[in-house]
Amino acid sequence: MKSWHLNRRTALKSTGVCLSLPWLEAMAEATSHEAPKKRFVAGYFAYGVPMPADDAADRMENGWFPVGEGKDYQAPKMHQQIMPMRDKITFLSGLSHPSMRSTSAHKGADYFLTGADILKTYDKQSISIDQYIANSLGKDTRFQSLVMSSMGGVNRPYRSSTLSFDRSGRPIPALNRPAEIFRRMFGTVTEGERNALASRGSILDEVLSEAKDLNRRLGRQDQQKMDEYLTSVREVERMTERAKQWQDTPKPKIDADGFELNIGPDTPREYLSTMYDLLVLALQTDTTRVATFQTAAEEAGPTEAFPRAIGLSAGSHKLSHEKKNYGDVAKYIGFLNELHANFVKKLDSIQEGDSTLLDNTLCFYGCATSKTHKAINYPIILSGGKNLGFQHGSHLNYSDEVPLSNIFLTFANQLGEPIERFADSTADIPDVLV
Amino acid sequence: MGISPTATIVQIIALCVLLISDPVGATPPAYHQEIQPFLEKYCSSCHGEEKQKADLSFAALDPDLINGSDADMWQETLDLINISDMPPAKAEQPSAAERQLVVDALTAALRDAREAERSTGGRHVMRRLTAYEYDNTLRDLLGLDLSFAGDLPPEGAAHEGFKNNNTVLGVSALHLEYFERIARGALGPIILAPEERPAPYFVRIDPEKAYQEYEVALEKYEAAVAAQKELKAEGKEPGRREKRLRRPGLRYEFSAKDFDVPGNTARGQFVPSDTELSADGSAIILAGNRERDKVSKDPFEPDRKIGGARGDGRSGYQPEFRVEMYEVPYDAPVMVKIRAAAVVGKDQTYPRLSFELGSFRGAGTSDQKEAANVEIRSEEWQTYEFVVHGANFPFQSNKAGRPSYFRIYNDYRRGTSQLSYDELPKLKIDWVEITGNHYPEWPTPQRRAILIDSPNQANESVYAREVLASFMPRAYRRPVSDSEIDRKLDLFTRLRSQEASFESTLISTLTAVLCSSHFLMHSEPAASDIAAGEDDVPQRRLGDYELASRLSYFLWSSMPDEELFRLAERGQLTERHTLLAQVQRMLADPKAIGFSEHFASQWLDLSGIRRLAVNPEYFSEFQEKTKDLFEQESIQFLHHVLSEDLSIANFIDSDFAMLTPDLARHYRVPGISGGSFQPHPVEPTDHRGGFLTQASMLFGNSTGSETHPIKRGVWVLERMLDDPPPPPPPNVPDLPEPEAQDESLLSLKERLVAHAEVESCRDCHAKIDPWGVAFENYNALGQWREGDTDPLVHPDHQKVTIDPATQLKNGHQIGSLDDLKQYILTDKKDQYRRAVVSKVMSYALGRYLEFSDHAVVDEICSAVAADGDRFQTLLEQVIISEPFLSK
Repeated sequence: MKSWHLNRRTALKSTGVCLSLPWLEAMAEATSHEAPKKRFVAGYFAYGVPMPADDAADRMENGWFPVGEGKDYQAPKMHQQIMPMRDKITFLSGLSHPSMRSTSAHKGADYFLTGADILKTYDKQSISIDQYIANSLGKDTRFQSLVMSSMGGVNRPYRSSTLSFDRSGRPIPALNRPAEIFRRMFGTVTEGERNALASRGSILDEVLSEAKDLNRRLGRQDQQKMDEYLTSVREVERMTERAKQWQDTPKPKIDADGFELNIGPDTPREYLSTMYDLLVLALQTDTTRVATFQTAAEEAGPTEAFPRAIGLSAGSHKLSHEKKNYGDVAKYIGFLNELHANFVKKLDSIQEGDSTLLDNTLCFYGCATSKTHKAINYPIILSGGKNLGFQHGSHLNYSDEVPLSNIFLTFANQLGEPIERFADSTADIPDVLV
Repeated sequence: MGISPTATIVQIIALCVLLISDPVGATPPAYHQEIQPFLEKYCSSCHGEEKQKADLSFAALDPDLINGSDADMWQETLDLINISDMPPAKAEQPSAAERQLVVDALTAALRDAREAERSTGGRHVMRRLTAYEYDNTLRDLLGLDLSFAGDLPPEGAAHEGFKNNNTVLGVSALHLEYFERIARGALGPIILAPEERPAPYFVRIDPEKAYQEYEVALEKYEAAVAAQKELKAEGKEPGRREKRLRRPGLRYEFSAKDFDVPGNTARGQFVPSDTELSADGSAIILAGNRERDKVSKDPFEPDRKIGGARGDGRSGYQPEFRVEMYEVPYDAPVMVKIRAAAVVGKDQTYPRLSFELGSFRGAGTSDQKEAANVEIRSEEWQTYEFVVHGANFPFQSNKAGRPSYFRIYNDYRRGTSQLSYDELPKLKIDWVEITGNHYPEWPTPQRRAILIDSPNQANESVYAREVLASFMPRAYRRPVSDSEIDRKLDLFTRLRSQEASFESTLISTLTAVLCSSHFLMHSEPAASDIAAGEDDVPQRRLGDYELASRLSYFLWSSMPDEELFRLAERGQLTERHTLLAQVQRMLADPKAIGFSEHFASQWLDLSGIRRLAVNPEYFSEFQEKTKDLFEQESIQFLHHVLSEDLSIANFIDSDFAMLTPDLARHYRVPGISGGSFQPHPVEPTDHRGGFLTQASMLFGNSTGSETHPIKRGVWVLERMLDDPPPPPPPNVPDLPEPEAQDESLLSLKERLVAHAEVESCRDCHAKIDPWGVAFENYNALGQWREGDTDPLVHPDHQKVTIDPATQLKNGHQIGSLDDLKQYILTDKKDQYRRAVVSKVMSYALGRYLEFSDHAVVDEICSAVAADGDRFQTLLEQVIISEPFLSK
């Protein structure tokens, strides 16, 4: 029996009645008739994909988009790692966010999951789909969501290093250090931390009320800054309530010896694999059910050197501008695809009840430009979620007019609280459903 | 045609309204003069009222770039016109001049729009402390030289590179979570410290003892070897023990019982290497280089290889004095006492005492960090004392059985000087004492600064109030009112019933202080509530305490010290002469490195060094740690100009360079011996001087393999002249790189020309490229090269055409970088000065500069020019400017 498996009785005894229990495989035998736990993961890569012409000799060698539509499509070479999963994946093409189609790009992470119109100002930035879904799926887990990126933090507007935005459209800083992510999810809670949690509510009350007093003495612009602080305090208050509910549930015991956690983006293969593995662990242990992972940023930051670090000729921005010799950029995107494929396969290798973790997890992976500066026809792979009503096996090619938010609406209605519209959606996309 | 009558009327009305209410946001005048006529002539037949190809009608686009919603479409329009994708080839084409006119007009209008968009009305906006300000503030507030901010989310930089810009300093829930965690983690060990002082961990090393023990061991060894020979001679097989004979090394072991210190648990060994024993046998002698390493004939080659490893490395191949210790208390202050004296070297050179703390990581690897590096001038024996905090160093051994260590070097090395071993200055060491758990006072001063002496200690709530009244003003960096203290006391009282102890309740209460907006933000609120409905507060002069904070975060990146608080209390800081005297005092304080480090890093974009990988196919011998030197060189250079109050012209060209022996070798500057960064006079033949010849800029703006003249040119225009070129239009191919080395290889200039095939590209690049071409004598690592070979790169890539001659857009001829420097310092002198003033000002204010600041910048420039462009004058002028003194 794996070490993180909980004894249901112990859990019951220590947590009281109001708390929903973490759902783990060990308990699944008794409860396999329960509805599947729903999960959602969104991933992002930077700068678009190579697009050789349809009649080009290297179309299948270096392209991203599959040839042919429906069930009988052929996937180019860069997808070879994920193709054994053909029945559990769908290629999407044609979709994009209408209000950002004319952008001069490199802002993709800012709007990929929000669909907001941030062409001119950030004022209309809005909640990202993962956070919307987390409002429902995140209720019963230790963390409402897990936000990760290779760069970490939020960076700055229009060069975001996070995919996730809260209900006010404010960026949620991404975690980027494996050791710290591990500590948060699986680290032992000390006596001191337990005591701190007990006092945190009162501390936050005081800090909040003091900040409100300060706010009355500030000018308009300062008040906008202060708003962020006030919202954040309230958010921590909610997190504290949740942490209190969870404090008596032992964290899953994960043996960290197999992990090299002190690792950074200078070794991209090892780093990205470790981040993906942490993501798998987070889902597997039901520490969270919603996660985002921005593998690379559209910014001259640490991820710019990814291609060089794996032996290719240039940095990722430069590679993406290549117009003829697609060999290296195809290798680079193929490398990212391989790690993403490994992640999907790993989810599928983990049994959960009668099916696999992947069958209970919808994974949305892609980029907000096709070619570097073309903010239309996003390259997207959807995988998993069989038990959540999703079906796969096709290449679905939509016209360039269809808003990406339409599929977000489908996600929202399938995984979250049903709504009429998400961002600028005009309809849903039932094609991906059973 | 093109613009519909209704649209025009609406625009005119909008224009009138805007002119009345908001002179900034409006249709740019250029719209009617240059843009609109162009669009009507060339574009509107496809993108007008009748036809809207690609759904675009210029009639429907809002020409107000500031308040309208079509700025990105205008950008797209600009880009397409710029790269001549529009009008399409089959349509009537504008002349090059017409095209350029509209491109310039749209570019300028869009730039103005961006500036207006981010305007703060020229006002100071509240912002959070940056991660490094937070770190320094906790350090100064708690009196603990520790790093606190490591867990905070990484921070981005604003458009111009400044991390303290209000637009990038958000507060998130994650931040608050860490702020709380960090505050508790910092306060806990101070307040919950045990009553009893921890036993010291004491080691005293008398190095000559190693030689004595060595002699004894050597005698034993030789006797054993002789015995073994005898056995063999007798035809007997030696036993297993005898077989394992090993020649003893210079070392000795110690344990607690060797020292008369109660409670001591020290255990370890002393392992010197390549040291000498003084003639009288009482002291050990350390040189910067090993006696057995041969001086290389070529001063730029490292000393002869010994055992496969090169000599004269920064660590590992120098004489060293190493003390290995087991189970040392790593998370505590360590005192190091060293009895040392100088042996003066040739030309009155002095040894440098450097020591580091580290630990072995296994597989022959170790982590270490330098803790001190000081010149020793006294030839008489003196005792030097250092106190460092073990937690700042990789001092904790991660695996049982592997020791932590302490290592002394003489950091005066031969470098590129070819000094012989005898000519080098030497460091004599009589003894060394290391005291872990070094707490000369108990309770610690940090604890007593929080838990102040008071007759009321027995009365919890009275005492808690006193503690708060003493702690809060320092944390909030201003006096606090009774009601502010009372509300924290209320919190204390609420928590006291549920917490286990007075101390833990106090930790929670003080944690609330350190999570308060008054601590975390630069807030500068009005004295009283602002009436509802009042749109904004009138601009006002800062109060004394507000000024103290602004000043100290500008010059120290940290909170004010006692003296600033004292002057603020007396209301004197706002007096001009006191203020200026304080600026002088602050710049002379070691904390002023805070300005040099952060301003240089952000202004010069030193993080570029980390972003870029050196291509090993070009530079196979490059060591990653040399990047640290690249970064430090620029910081130390700026700091030298600041502390010596030199002219800012030195940033462009200087007759000195800040060098270490390793950096001198990298740059091939001969005759540089020594240790840490020092100013060295340079000759024209060294090709060094100013930021423009430093590897931070030259490497940071290369490809990691080759030079990148466009990046270098953009860097000069952005950072030194504050004249950023517009961003390239999308889908511009990057500079083509040569496929391989062959005769038909295009010269760099030919490649640049190829890059700018398109007319309007060429026009823009004529403004950028020459500024970068002038650097062609410096390869990707910033090393000098000339002619048609670069001997410092891998043989496969040595053949290059090196031609720095170029012509600026205005026709000015540039023969080499020296010409460019002179051009900046003469023809562009005013623009350059203005750029430096603007950058310093933007950093000082934590916001973008805008139109309303221009006049102030002009005034500062005049004052700085009148005083010989001295850097301190520049900082002073920024500090006494109205925007800095006002909220």
